[in-house]
Amino acid sequence: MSESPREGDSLGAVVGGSLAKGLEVRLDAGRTAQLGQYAMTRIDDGARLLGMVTDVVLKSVDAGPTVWPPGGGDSSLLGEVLRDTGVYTAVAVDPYLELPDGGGEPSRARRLPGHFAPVHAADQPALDRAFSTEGRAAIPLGAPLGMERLDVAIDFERLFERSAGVFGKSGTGKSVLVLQMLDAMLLRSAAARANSERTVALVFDMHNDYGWDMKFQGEGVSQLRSLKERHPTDVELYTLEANAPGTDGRVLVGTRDIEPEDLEVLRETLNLRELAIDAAHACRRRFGPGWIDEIIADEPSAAIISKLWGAEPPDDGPNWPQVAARMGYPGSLESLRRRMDRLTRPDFVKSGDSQFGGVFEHIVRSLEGGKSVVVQFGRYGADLVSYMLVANMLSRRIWEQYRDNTENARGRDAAPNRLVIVIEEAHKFVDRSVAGQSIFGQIARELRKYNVTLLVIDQRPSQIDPEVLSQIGTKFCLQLDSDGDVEALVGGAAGRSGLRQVIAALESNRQALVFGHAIPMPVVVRTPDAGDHRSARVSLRRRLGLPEQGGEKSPARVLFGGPAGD
Amino acid sequence: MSGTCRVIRAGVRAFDCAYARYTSEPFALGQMLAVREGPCFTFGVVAASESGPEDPARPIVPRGEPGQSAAEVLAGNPEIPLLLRTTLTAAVCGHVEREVARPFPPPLPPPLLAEAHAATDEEKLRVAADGEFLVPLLANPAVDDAVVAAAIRDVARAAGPDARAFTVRAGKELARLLKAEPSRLTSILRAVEPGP
Repeated sequence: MSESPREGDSLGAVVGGSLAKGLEVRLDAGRTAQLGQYAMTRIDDGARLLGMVTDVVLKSVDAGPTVWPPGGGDSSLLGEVLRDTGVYTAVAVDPYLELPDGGGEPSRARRLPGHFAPVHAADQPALDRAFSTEGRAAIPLGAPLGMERLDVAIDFERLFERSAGVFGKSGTGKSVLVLQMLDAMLLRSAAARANSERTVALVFDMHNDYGWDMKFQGEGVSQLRSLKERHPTDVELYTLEANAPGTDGRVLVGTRDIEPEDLEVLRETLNLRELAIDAAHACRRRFGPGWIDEIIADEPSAAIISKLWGAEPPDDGPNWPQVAARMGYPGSLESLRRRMDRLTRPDFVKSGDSQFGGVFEHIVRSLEGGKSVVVQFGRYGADLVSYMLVANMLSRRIWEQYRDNTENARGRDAAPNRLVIVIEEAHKFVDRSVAGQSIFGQIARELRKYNVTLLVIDQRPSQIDPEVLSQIGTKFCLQLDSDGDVEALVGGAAGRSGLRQVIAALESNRQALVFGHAIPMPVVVRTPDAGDHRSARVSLRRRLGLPEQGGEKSPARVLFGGPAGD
Repeated sequence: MSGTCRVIRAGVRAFDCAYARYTSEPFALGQMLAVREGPCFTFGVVAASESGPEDPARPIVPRGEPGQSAAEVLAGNPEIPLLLRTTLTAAVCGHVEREVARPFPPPLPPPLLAEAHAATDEEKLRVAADGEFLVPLLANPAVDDAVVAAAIRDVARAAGPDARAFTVRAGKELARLLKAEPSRLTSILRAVEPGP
């Protein structure tokens, strides 16, 4: 009977390997090990080497048993005898960290243990040393795979000081994971002493998950309390829909607010060609801020005719094809007109006046003041054009504001707080064709220069521009089906072949591989059960050694403590 | 059983024993024997067993009437048993010296004419429980696969409720020793656990 090891239990012995390809560990008789599980062994000077199981291999000492396998199934004597003698199980362990004997900083593994060095399942002290945040705030990630009694946490500051990404196919728990991270962020910010120590989020909430409640398919639970409900005074909720209850404002976009630069990122989604974008710039230049209203009119206005032909318009009264030809964009202008007509169809886009400035100012003030902002798209969430238009317009202007604030604050003790912009369907914003123009590509590339980072949520990482993806510091990878998506994520990571195996074996829900900047070595975790508030809270408190408290509190509030008077 | 069995030829890897006369029920093939005399107790597994005329020059003549059993023929010819003898060969599989059991040949052969007894269950488990007693057996050219299988079955019987665990343990030791001869391993294990 195979037996799963408990922490500290012997797993087997090193029988081969290399730093490049990992260790080969022959498992003790009757032992099993899972992909993603942590294992540890000792090097000659007593230092411990911590690694992750990245493959499980059934091996045979020679070809005999596999050429003539014993009949009678598992219970035959020959079968039982051959197990762990003629045939055996080995695991590949990718060594990641060296933990010096007697303390000291963990370092990247650069040595190997000798042959037959005993290998054990990692225990809590080893994980505590490896994942130590040295007293800094941390977000609990959950239990490493196969080690349900242990837990690991991720350094809060390191997580958000660079962009991060949550990747996985639909239904794998991306939204719940992001909710847990944002929950922790808000609580942390609320407890911060100075505004510059706060981290705030601007969430473009495509599916209305991060406002009052989140749709959730759990045992006996159909929804979770979301950010606004958990942190009513620290979150402002905006919507694109009219008369939506429980919100702090409505985002309206005037046609005069839309600049050609805002269309760059929509090129793929709106199927706009390069020439159509050029035509938009030309229209903006010639017709002024009201250019969209001008070109979606049925007939060219007198102002347009005057600007193009002066005092001598054609006798037959110019139509749009003539205007396009006159401007040098035959075909492209007509295409642009049709797309702009579609763009201005939603009722949050208003013709005539500029609408955006007021709400933009309000959102910026809230963010700068330490509040997070959730923009809910309501029924427009299904319309990618609306989502991308608003997200891009807001983000571009807010980033420029943060950039100016950061530049102005240099040399003074008045740095702005850190802003994390949360976008879903990120590959639409930063695919290969638009990443160069997209503000999101720029934010990812700038790293933390202007205190703005991204938290991207996506199902198709392979569609994201590789340069942008390489700037994503910490990656949370849930189940992915496509080889291309997996390859895109682990492309440059150490031990990528092992990570590829681990991702391929992730379960469809609540299992994530986390790796990258904020974490010393990759970890596969079973994320906390979002549907079971009480047990999650109790377990979290127990892990933290905190006394049980009454009243409903978010897991992050338990972790960081609440503001005074909470 | 026809009296005691004594060592008539002694070596450190094998010893021969003989009964005073012919016996129709000598120690069985693969059974573990104990010679509890000398500087250490020697244990061996019956690798061969033979009964016949004491003088090879005087072969036995088949007597008896049709339908008579062997016992009836012997009873009717009381002079015949006096001319017959049963001998057997034991392959050494371990020894006990100063209360320590060791699964390899003793430093000295067992004394000639020492009595060979059936090893007790306790002795069998002491010498053979970890399966290493198979090492000297497989190294002995006089031991064939049937003897190895019978020896494993003999110790397994002594293990009582732990018979299966012992058999698997011994099988794993065999697998280690016979890693270059998988077909031999298979045939021995099939003999250890005959099919239904």
